[in-house]
Amino acid sequence: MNIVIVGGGELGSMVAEQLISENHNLTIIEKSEKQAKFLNDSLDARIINGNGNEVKRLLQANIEKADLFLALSNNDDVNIICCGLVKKHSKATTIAKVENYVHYFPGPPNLPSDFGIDETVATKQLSINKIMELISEPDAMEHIHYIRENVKVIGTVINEKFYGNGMKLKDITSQNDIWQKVRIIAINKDNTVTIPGGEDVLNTGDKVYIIGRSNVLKEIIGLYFATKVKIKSVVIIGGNRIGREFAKRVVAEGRRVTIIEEDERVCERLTEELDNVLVINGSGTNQDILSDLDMENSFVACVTGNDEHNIISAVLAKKNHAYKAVCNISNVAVSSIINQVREIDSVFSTESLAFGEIIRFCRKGDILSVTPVPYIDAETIKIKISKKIALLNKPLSKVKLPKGMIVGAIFRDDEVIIPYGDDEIKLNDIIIVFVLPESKKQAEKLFA
Amino acid sequence: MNWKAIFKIQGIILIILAISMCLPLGFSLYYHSGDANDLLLSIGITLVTGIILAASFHPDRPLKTREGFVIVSLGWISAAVFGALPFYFNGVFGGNFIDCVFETMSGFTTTGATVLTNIEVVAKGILFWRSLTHWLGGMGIILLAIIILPALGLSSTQLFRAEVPGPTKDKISPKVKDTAVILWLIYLGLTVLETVLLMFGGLDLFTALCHTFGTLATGGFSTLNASVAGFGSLYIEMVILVFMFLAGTNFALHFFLIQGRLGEVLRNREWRFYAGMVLIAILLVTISVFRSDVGYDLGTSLRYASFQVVSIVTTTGFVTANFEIWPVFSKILLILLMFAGGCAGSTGGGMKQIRIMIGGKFVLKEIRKLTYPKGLFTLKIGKEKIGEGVMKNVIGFIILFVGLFAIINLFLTFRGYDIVTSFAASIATLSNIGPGLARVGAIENYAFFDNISKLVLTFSMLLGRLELYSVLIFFYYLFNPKKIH
Repeated sequence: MNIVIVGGGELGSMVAEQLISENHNLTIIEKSEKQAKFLNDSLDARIINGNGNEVKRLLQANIEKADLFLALSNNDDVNIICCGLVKKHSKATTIAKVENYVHYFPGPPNLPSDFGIDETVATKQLSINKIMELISEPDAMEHIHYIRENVKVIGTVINEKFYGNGMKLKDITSQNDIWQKVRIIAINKDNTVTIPGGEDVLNTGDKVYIIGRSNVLKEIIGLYFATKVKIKSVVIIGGNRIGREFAKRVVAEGRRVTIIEEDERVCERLTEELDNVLVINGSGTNQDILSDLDMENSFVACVTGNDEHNIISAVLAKKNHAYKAVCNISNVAVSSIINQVREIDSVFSTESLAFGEIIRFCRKGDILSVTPVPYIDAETIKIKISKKIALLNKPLSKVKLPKGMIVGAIFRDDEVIIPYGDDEIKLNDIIIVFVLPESKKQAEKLFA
Repeated sequence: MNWKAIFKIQGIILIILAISMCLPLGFSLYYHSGDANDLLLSIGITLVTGIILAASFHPDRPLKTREGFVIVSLGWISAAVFGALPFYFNGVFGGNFIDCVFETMSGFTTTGATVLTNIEVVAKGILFWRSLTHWLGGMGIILLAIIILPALGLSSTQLFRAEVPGPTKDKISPKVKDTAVILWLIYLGLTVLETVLLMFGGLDLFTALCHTFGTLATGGFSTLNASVAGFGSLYIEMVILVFMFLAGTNFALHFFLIQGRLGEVLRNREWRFYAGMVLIAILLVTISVFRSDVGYDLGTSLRYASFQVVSIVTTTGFVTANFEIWPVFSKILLILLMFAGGCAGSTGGGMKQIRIMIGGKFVLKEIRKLTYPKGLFTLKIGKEKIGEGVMKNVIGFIILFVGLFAIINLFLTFRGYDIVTSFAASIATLSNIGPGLARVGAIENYAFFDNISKLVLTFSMLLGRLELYSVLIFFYYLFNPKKIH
């Protein structure tokens, strides 16, 4: 496919890298000269330095021949407008990143299609949904939800009360039949992620990633991992964008909410707009402010626009006895490093979430979705098996899979199978595989 | 340093080299020129080395920026060393391997400076290989390798940058690989066209091909001792002149032309500057030669002047007239034109027209800035703004180019060569032209230099072809491995 992207920032370059690796022809229009030069040196794509909402640049990018147009700049206005401009010259499918979706499209008659936008990626909404998921199940620190099949991947930490501490996986799972309905797809021990076998041992502090049906997972969490802590209060650090929207949602759920925001004017606006919310003007990295708050059993969401700020705030909050601290990170590269900071329970990245969405829209082939797991730098990939590949119709235990890859779920007709060694993959199945970065290439080869 | 990738790609380059050596083998067998065994031996050694390297290394991570430069520089050096084997085994230089490498590097870098004293006695197969090195080096050996690299799972963005000339590397297609394919196809098309036109002029396939290679790569190796002058045909001179001019043009413009975007070509500022420079130089040289006591009439003056100017500006180095006997003004003008070179993205060498333009505009900008200290001025070529980064890069390049020229020049005089010879030989190698003045003049050659000087000149040619930085980075890492930063 010929693909034109406007905006080569964090998100744009991440998407570009993925699409280039899938052998598409990319042209990127990037506003900043410095960034354009950087992209030109690092990506196998044509880079044009200029504004994406300038028709001349779009034509220069051969927009007439494009099959797909992605507007991924940091400016909603630009993204919306350039989709409209593109539609006049090209038949390309247009996808726009619109951070503040409701602002432009609160509902009919205001629709994205008025501006020639075929699909929108509402990034703010994605982030809010993510935090809401994290707060609704505070004992799981990672969620990937396949809504249609009602299958989830969750991540959770082994606490000292878990009965299986120091036991081998096969012994743990033999204790209760419920383990047969799910599968542990990854263990993170001291920052090395492995795909476990029956002989691996679980210890306190290990993080495990489990795939299974939502209701079964809920049961497992309830049985073994719930700490029975009731989250009483929510502290939000950063009152812009995501923070404000999140506050509205949790207030509606009847929780006690505090927002800490540095900008005085933003604070003023927050007090005008939100009821029943304590707004504190100050920095989330300020020890005095945090210690003044009663943080026992609180859920802390660090959602300022600054990664470093979020990380420090999260660690400080935990030192002040917060129950859970989650961070929004925009530099995806550091999210795997944050993994090493024990105080931070969950990381989510708006960029990663948007990336998953965009890649899903770009799919015409067999890979239905790619969901990054930023916390451990791995990916879950949903693939439709439409070709006769070597590993079909053989028990999985007989197939040689790459070391860093595991088949987590098989969807056949309306059935969900959490596969073990005896299960087979058949033609027309949809499968979910979990892949560590070192095995990504091999995995791609396997399904190509 | 990612040695696995570096060696693997070296292997691939050598395999390509070995395959291309089969072409002269065909001519050798056809003419029974007696050099088939030498070629076969060279093919064998190159192919085996290439296969061993390519098969035994499996890179496990993508290339870093600096590794791209190392691969390209090393690739050119190993091409020159292995490409020298046919000359060595054939014994054309009496077993002096340095001469062989000089000749090969001169071929690959499209310089066309020769150490052969009598070209016409050399066996046909070897002679064809000599011209073929031009053709391979003109568009770029690495650019050829780039076409097959993605299939081997290697990224090639870093390599493209290190080999393609010019301050900004525009890709005419989003993918480096597709860009390389398009460029090579255009190159191939022009080659076929010129060969056919030359054969219309009465040349046989062998001679036509050899001269086409020399023209389109802006190389300058001829199969005749007297170069193009040896044909004595106005038609052949004109064909070669036109194709030299085309070869000195940015190949992206040829692509636009094929797409029917003529307006874009004519509006291209660099092309206009290039065409203008050529026309003015032709005019000046014609007048100068006509008014002097060389004894040409106006038509002859124009004929020789135009050919020589185009040959020098495009850095080809074909010769139709002994410009050694021309007036000093003409000679100095030709020498100065040597610095300019072809357009960015062409097969020509030198500093490139676009850099001269940017440099000139930079000076004008500085003058205006001094007159209006608070004024703001943007450097533009046509309607395109030249960013601060590109501008600094160009100024740096010009300084480095002149600096390296000075050092090489100084070295040659240190070895005891006279001033004009040293000056001309330095710029003629650094700009990849070939013939210069005095002892390296139009009808002379480089055979008289001592071995050390030949090595320095070989290095100078490589510097010029890869536009200085790639080679300098390579040697910086080679001799300074501990202090890498």
